[in-house]
Amino acid sequence: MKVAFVVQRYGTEIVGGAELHCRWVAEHLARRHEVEVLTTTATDYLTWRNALERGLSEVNGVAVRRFPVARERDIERFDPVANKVCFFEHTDEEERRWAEEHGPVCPELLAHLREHERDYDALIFFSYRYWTTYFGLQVAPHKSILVPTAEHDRVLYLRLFRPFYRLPAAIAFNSPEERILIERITGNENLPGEVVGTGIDRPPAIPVEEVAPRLDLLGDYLVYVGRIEPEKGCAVMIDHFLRWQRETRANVTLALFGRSTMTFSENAHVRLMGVVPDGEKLAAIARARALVMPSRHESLSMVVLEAWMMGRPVLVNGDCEVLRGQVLRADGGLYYRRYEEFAAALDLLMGEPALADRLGRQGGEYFEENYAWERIVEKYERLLAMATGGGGRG
Amino acid sequence: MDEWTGSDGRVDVAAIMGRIREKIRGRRDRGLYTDEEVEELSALRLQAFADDAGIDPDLLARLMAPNHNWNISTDYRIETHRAGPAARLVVLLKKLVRPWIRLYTDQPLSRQAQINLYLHYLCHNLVRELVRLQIEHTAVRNKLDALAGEPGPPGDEASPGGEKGEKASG
Repeated sequence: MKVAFVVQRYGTEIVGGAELHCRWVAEHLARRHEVEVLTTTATDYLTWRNALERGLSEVNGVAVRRFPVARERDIERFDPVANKVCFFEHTDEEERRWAEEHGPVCPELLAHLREHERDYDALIFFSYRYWTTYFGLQVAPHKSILVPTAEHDRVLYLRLFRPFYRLPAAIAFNSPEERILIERITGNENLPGEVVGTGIDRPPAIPVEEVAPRLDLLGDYLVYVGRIEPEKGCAVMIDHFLRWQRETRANVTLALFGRSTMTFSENAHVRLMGVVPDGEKLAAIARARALVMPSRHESLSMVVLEAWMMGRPVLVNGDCEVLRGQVLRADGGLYYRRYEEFAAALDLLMGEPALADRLGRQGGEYFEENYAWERIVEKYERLLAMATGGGGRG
Repeated sequence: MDEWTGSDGRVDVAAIMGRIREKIRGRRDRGLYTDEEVEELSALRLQAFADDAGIDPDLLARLMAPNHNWNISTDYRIETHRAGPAARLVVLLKKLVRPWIRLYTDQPLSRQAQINLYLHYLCHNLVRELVRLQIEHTAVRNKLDALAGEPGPPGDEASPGGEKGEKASG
């Protein structure tokens, strides 16, 4: 079967989120099918600046066809229209303008799809909110699978996405909560598809005890992995952690792994570790007491899955229905909504190491049962059968 | 089996969270809040009022910030939605008339900015005081409920006896 993946950015240099999810699924399906990735030459999701070579290349054995972005995002034009459509009464025309300003506008990719859609048996689109998915999926919806990676934010409420969600032959949801959310907000009941999620690619093992001294993480520590920015809940997490540390005088460090776009004062208890190789990151998670995930908007947290894969518990933001649901289903950690719950949960995780270890083990069992690659690939095969069998509603 | 383990031998996260919330409720019932918690509750209350009013979240964030850049200003930016030579002409005309307009608008706008600032302080402090009073009120009510549930001192038994006596004499 020839399968095309369509995604806004792609490559080993793109870490985290839907793009990494897409790359892993593409690489695993490429072992069974002829896979080609259609994407842009951009690497920066804020500007969509063309940074990579256009044309055909190969990433980890998968064929990648890149098309240039027609224009960079202009923040002066994007911000007002985004504010308008998200928070005020607005017209359908303004929603269409939002889609154009949000980007990445890539007419050559769209032209390629129109010209060559017959060459592909199925098309898999990642992230509903991007121009490439919104317009690309409309080319051949009857053989398209959508991986929405939807979060509970204002964009999902835009009217233009209501009919859009009825188009694909099948939808690969990241969690039961995401499915409920999409069906409720877009007013579409019984959307075709199933809850899939993603597996996690485990890089070659690095001895845990080797990594900790190298990173200078010798005592008890908590770990955060991801983009370090206020929108991800990091400012509140750091604030809560420092307050808890002040109140309990606990000798615990919060180690932040990832690229930071916010300013905060590092001290002995809050340390910015930066971007490290995946093997080191996983080894650091394996030795941490727990992983903290403070984001309110997630459709599936891959770092939570990574923590469970490494047998560690998680402490997540309970305001995020997806994270709370995952933690309750797995019995793999605790959640908080306010500082008091954050502090009480940390008291438990730090004060009772055996309890933390057991929560981590339970999370690990849940990960193996639901997110092992064999299970994920099986589910994609079922969705591909739906798409190639013409069982969609397009 | 320890206190966290359920009958199936697994740690039950829902049960742990229930226990955590119960413990927090217990502290609150006794009115044990730190200043930071009072601030947090006040912010939540202000946020709820803003949600009801449906104001722009960006403006709310600025209203909650320690600086005052949410307030109106006597100065204003000169711009136009037009483009090309017409735009330059419009901007030039606006710049020319601005001093005359400000002659009439500066005084009332400046007064309005001071009133806004005063009302802002008043409202935020009132909400904070309201939260404190509600905490005290809840703690006192819980204490009263607890006292009402306790058996009274032995001397209190005198009045039922008296009643009995009255009935006997009647």
